[in-house]
Amino acid sequence: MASYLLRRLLGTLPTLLGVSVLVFLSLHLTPGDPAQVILGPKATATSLAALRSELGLDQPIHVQYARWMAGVASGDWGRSIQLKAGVLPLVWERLKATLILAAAAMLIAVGTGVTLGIVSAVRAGGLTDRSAIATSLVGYSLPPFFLGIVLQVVFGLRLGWFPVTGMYRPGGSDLPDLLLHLVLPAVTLAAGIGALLARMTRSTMLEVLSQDYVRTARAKGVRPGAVTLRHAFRNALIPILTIIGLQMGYVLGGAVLVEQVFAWPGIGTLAVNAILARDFPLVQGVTLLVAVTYVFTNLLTDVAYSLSDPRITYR
Amino acid sequence: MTTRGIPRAAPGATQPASAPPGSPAETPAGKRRSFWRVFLREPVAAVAFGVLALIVLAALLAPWLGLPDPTRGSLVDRLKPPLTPGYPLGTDEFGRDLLSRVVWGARVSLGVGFLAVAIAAAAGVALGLVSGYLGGRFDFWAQRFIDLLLAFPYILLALMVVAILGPGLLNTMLAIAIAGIPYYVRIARASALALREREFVEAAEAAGASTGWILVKHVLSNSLSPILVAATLDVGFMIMAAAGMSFLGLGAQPPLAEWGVMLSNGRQYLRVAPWVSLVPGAMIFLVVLALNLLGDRVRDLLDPRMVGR
Repeated sequence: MASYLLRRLLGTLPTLLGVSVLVFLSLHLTPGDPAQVILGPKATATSLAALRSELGLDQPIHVQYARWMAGVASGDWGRSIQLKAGVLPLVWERLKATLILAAAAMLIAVGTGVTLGIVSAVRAGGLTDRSAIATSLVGYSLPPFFLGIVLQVVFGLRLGWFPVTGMYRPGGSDLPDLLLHLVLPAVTLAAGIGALLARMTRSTMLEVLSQDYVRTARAKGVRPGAVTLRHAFRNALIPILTIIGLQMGYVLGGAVLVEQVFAWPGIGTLAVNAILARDFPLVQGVTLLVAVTYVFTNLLTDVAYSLSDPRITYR
Repeated sequence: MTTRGIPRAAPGATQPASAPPGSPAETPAGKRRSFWRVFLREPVAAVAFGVLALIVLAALLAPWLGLPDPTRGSLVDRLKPPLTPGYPLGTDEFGRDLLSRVVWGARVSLGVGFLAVAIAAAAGVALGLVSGYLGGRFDFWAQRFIDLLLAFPYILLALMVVAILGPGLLNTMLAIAIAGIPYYVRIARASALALREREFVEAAEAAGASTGWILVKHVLSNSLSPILVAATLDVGFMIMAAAGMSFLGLGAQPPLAEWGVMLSNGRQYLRVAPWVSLVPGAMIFLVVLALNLLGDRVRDLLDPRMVGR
């Protein structure tokens, strides 16, 4: 088991290396001189030269990459040009807020999506099934930025149940306040994923429910609820887990849009501002951190997947 | 779904019935006609098609519809609610007619979405087919590169491309197209891998056909169904992604009438005039919903294994 985990961890190294090269190169792929791109057309020759030497652009490219990687490995991710602060503390602080939002959304999506999918499959063809299919279709056709605004208007501005923006009330930092602020953005982010999960759960469950052993279980008189949960759902769980894992990328990406709607102080708002300001060190920091997070969540899903199925041996 | 009151055809009945030899349905034009007839037989798909056709038609005919200038308004008429005489969908913060802006915006939003799919599909399918058919070292490195791109969440990859190219409508379209390429590479490669082993491809090779000819004539033409299904389902997603980029301020820029920009600008007036945001938002939703319904229908018809999933 330990050796399996170690091997999987080592297996991510080429991916991580590739990610780092791509993120590093993003600055150099800009059309024209990166220093000019960052400082704009009005920059003086002195300021351009200063920035070039600060970013190490006057060095050969492999030296630049080696220096950048050494910095990344030792916790020095460069300085944000716009915010005049270290990149790593900036992105790290914001990543926490994004992960809180992503985790809450995932919980809601899995809870509602999987339940809806199971109910839908058990009553396949009926009215419940058809309304569940329609609901999920609407769910994943709703752009998160539109759903967010609708929820803001209805539950924030009209009914006044939930705060419309931010993570805490000014000066606050307690848990109940956070939860209250979390509801609308988390539901917004969850809608698309939940809808997709409902659809996938339904089709996986339908397939499992048509298997011989399910018929046998029914024939020998096992209660319908037990057949659904113990016989069918447990076997449908593995494909469902995979789909949940695949959605992590959507959650991290979708968070960018949802954060913008709700002024959630996460990594997405930071990324968008950095791109608009052409603050490359910060853009690189955000991209690197999100990509690495994504690679590791994928690894975790894979491991969870092998653990949940006794037929998959980890050798 | 929403086939209330109308008996739903039994699964399988929606498959295009094989036409008897010599019947008009056997000619290419006849085949197309019968595909459309079967395609629109399901009421939900027919309604979705109608809605989409109406929006596309309005977008194409925008200059001849006699709508007011979408970028000019009268400040006297600012923030008028929908159903105000003269402004069926109301006006925005500059008194611009929202109906006109939504119709003109459709040109931009739909155009960007369709073009992005076309670019992503063309590039991805070309790379995927060549990679899958040739195999070997080229395939190995192409796939490692695609794996690398897939290590980034879609939106992050698109954001990275925008960061490189700089914000703007054209760059955003390229960005969402580039980020979409791996999706098509995967589908086309899988298809090419399977086709490579088929007798008719081997026969063409034995007959001395060139690689390019085999790729286009045999591999591409037999891979079209899964690619078409994927592309249909992708258009809605791309329209949403393009509007999302504009919403973030990275794509189209005001005063251009584009749905994402309109939605974003209207947010300042949510308290007093929520329709400024909700009207363009509802349009994006409607189009994406219609496209998803049509995509499901195309998949049911072209990929019989997926019926009822």
